[in-house]
Amino acid sequence: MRVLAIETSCDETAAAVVDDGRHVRSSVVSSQVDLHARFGGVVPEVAGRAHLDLLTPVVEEALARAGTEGPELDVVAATIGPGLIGSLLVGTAAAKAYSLAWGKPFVGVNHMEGHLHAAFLEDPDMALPAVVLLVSGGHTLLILMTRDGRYRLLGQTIDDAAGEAFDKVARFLGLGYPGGPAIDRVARDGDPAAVAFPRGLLHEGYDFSFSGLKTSVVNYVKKHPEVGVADVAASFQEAVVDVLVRKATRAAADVGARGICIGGGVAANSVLRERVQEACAANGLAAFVPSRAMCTDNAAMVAATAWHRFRLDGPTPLDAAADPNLRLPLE
Amino acid sequence: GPVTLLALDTATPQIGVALVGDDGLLVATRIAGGRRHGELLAPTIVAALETAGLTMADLTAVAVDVGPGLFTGLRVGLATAQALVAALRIPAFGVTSLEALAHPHRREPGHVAAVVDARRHEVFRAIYAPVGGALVEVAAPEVCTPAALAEELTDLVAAGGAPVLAVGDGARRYAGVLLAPGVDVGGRLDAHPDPAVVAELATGREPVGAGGLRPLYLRQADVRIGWEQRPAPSGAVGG
Ligand SMILES: [Zn+2]
Repeated sequence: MRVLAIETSCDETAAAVVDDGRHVRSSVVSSQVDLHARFGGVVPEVAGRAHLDLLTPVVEEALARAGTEGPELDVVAATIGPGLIGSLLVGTAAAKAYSLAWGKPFVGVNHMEGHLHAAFLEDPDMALPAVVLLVSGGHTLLILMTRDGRYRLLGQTIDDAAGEAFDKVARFLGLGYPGGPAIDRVARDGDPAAVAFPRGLLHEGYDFSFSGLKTSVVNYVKKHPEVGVADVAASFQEAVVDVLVRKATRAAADVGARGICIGGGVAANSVLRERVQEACAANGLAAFVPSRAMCTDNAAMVAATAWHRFRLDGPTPLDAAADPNLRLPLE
Repeated sequence: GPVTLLALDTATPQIGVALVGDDGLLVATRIAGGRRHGELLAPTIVAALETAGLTMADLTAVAVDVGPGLFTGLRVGLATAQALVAALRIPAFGVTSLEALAHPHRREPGHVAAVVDARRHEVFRAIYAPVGGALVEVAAPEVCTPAALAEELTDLVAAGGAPVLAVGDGARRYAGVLLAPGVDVGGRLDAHPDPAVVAELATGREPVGAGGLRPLYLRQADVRIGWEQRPAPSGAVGG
């Protein structure tokens, strides 16, 4: 079964062709990061406009690289939420129109479920149950993936998302946008133990809190203007990664998971990737750390999820609404 | 072979779909859509094709209202039109909301102002003069305040003597500001573009490809960062 999927939930315009939910024939991602960099964050109206400019060429490119054409497809899918509504609408409207034009069923996909499926694309034999840590600019979730299509929410952020904390701290430190890669880069020259920033909710359940950490960074730098930016970046990153990894490892032990999987843009962070692998090795768990391209937003993960969802639920009606707050189908 | 043009309009809180064949209008649907363009447009296209007894394969061109108007509505219409013409490899035509609003009034004695509600106490407007049963643009599409438009229209009346008719949802919303001696405001039926008129205006124009369909925003993007538009942490999951 051949799926064309479109992803436009935030600031990446992406299209991919995937066979049978696992063979990626093409995956094209056109990043708008340069468009948003001068504003220090994703500007919804700028994103909506760019998606419309980029989408048709990106879809054509995905079809060409896959060596296929519309009539050979079995499903046309798009991310239907959660995300920026003005961005979601572009991809959803286009996918519905392609589906109509080619007479193929339309499948609306939950972006977060897409991230959950990303690891499967690279590791189809991923051992389940697994604890999945989904960390991006919009989300910080700890989820138990029990078996195909079943998810249980273990914990989530009660304030800022992890990626949001990276962006805001990077902006405060004058490191530019996007904040994740900027802090990752600068932190390599810093001492992660230089400043003992607070670990929010470390010993309380599986929920996360990052807004206090962001405030601590601001207060500390104001009080100690002589501190090196690299030390602050490294210490901040250490605090985030420490909480993420410790909670994921504790959750895996508590629920008897066989492994830990990471996904979302923050999963491209080099220290987080390293630390998850170390924690898994130390605790007899399997580590599923997808390639960076599969952690950040892409349409291949949407296609894989669409294939899975189409077999379970069939097509999505054409009057389905894009939903900026779409919920994961949790147990 | 036979010609079948699909016309789409999502520039205002209306979803408009029309099909035009060799012998004229086959079907025209206009439904009040609020901001639900993304939900309503595709099913409305399906219903129009069914009514006309046609399939997607029968389409030979797509015309679309490129605005100015509601940004999200415009993008739904344009994304749909671009995907259809790219998938079916057929030509596209862009028509502005303002010329579509003005066109039915081409036989008025005086100027016609097409006025679309731009929100934030502003309007998108263009002004046309009737010349030999057709309209000639005398003021290009622009964004302005209702008060500035009112002054512009009374100046037109003073200069030319002929009455001015203002049509569109912007004219109706700000009728209290615009109405003046010699300045009239069109009725409810003229509040939104007619997709049949979008089709009519497209006929005879130079066709473009999917990439040639560009929205007419007339306003710079609002550059506030969308932290608050990101899904709320608690809203992201649950159930
Ligand atoms: Zn994402």
